[in-house]
Amino acid sequence: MKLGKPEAEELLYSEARLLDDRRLEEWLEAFTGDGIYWLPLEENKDPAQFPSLVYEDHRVRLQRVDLLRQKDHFAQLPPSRTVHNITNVTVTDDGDRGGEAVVHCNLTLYELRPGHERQPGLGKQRVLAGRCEYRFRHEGRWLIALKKVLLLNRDLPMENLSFIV
Amino acid sequence: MATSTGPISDLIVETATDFKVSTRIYSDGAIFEEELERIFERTWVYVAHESEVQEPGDYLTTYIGRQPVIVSRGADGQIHVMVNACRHRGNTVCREERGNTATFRCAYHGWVYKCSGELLNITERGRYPEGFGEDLTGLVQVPRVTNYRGLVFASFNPQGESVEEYLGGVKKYVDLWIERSPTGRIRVLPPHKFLVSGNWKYQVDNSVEGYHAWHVHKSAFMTMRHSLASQADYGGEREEGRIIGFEHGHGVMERPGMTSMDKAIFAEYFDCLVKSYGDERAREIVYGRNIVVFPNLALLENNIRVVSPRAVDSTEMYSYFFDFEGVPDPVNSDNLRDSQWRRGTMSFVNSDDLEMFSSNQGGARATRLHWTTIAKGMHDETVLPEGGRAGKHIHDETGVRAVYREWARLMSGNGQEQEELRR
Repeated sequence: MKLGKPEAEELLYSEARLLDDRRLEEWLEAFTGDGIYWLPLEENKDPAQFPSLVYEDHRVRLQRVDLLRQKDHFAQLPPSRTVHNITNVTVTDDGDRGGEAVVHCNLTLYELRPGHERQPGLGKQRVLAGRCEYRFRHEGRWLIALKKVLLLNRDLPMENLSFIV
Repeated sequence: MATSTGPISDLIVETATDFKVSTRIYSDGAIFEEELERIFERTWVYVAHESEVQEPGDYLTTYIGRQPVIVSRGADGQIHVMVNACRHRGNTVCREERGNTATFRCAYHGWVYKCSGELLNITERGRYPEGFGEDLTGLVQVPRVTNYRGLVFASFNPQGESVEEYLGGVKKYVDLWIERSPTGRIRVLPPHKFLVSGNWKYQVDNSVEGYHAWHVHKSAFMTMRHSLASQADYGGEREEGRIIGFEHGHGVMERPGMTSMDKAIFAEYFDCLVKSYGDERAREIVYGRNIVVFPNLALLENNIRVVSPRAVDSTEMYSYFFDFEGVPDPVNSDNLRDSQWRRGTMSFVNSDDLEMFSSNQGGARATRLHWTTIAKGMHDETVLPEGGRAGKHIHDETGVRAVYREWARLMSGNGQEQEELRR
């Protein structure tokens, strides 16, 4: 299967929409069974030996969505509103020679927890930026085998990051 | 006996039936300024782990309170801690977070220092008066630095207790924590870094406060239960374990069976400990513990928390992961996975604590609420022969009270001593 650029863009946009709409169960379904959601601290380090912000397989992603659905998960009470913007999409490998298609893009993520800005942690609009590598595998449809986001501020002190990037 | 902002009795009151803490100690900027001097520039403060400056020339930059410092390993093999400011115009000498170097060269006018801090060269030296600079031997050294079994502490106080004396009753637990490594050595990995909109003391006392656990972390417990990976449960007032508060604000909260390590991997790990320390000691070592070393360090099973105050309402917390020496790789991988899951920036547990600290801070602005209370279990404590007080129940606020007793002692220190510190 060959992944064209318009199709790659549509895949990325639809994932962004799922997250911004908090359709988190559908987000889980966008991954392959062995898919990984990864926010490294340093690119190209073995996540089993070197810290990552998250390195989550299907089981842990299920846990994360479970947590985000609980009403007394206070770091997300109220929950974050997000706007995921995807730009600079490049299909690095269209997967036509077999195996996974590789897509690089940039992410600009606006985040805000509603509430009065005079309450610490609320009412403040934040921007996160990241460089992304996606790997897609065709299993009847294109699914995410890897979502890797290298955040610009990954090694700086960060406030509440309890939403999905 | 008072802070410059008023008598200490306006801030902390301990009676037979209550232990009251004023909201002002979390929200008053003048009190915060005094804390920097009376606590962070007077006690032993944790600055680094020795493995972060393993080789001669290795360095990192950090803070003691708000004083920027360089921690380095000199060519002499010794660890040095010095103020990160050039003796010429005070420029930041080292802007890198960590690295390896023979010298630091000030960018502004090129003055050069050895990595252990000695001044090597003043540029255009001939244009200075004869006799100039006799007092300029190098970067201002933090007068006392001690490497206690890999934990590097520094103190701006030129005199006073040794680190071992300062640790006092908690030393036994720090030793047990260090011996979680079969060789007593660990290698610290890069941390996750948090920025919290809350006063630094919330993070410190929280690490030895079990009362909040079920209320704040219920969602994480429920997630663990739902995923069938754990039978995590909460026993409320029946919960096992104990809490001890020591002199100098240190504390330990301990309870059995908090490992979430895979059973087979844990068995391998436990074997390594038995080989090093024997069966009885190994059992004692793997008991679950949170240890607080006042004012800025917490040692957890597979995590090191370092607290750094930025402003009265802003705190950095670094959450360090580490590898044990002398264990099979899967032990370290499993610890890393678990620690990230529980203690990391995007973790299932810690994120809810941080939310409490910022809402604590929101409430601390309400100075019309003058007194808050940390009295839970104070009627039911045992004074231990080795020093310290043990709470009857693990969720008593014994560890929290130890923090604020020490806080009150340091903040009401006598004026003469303060003068001496200012030199």
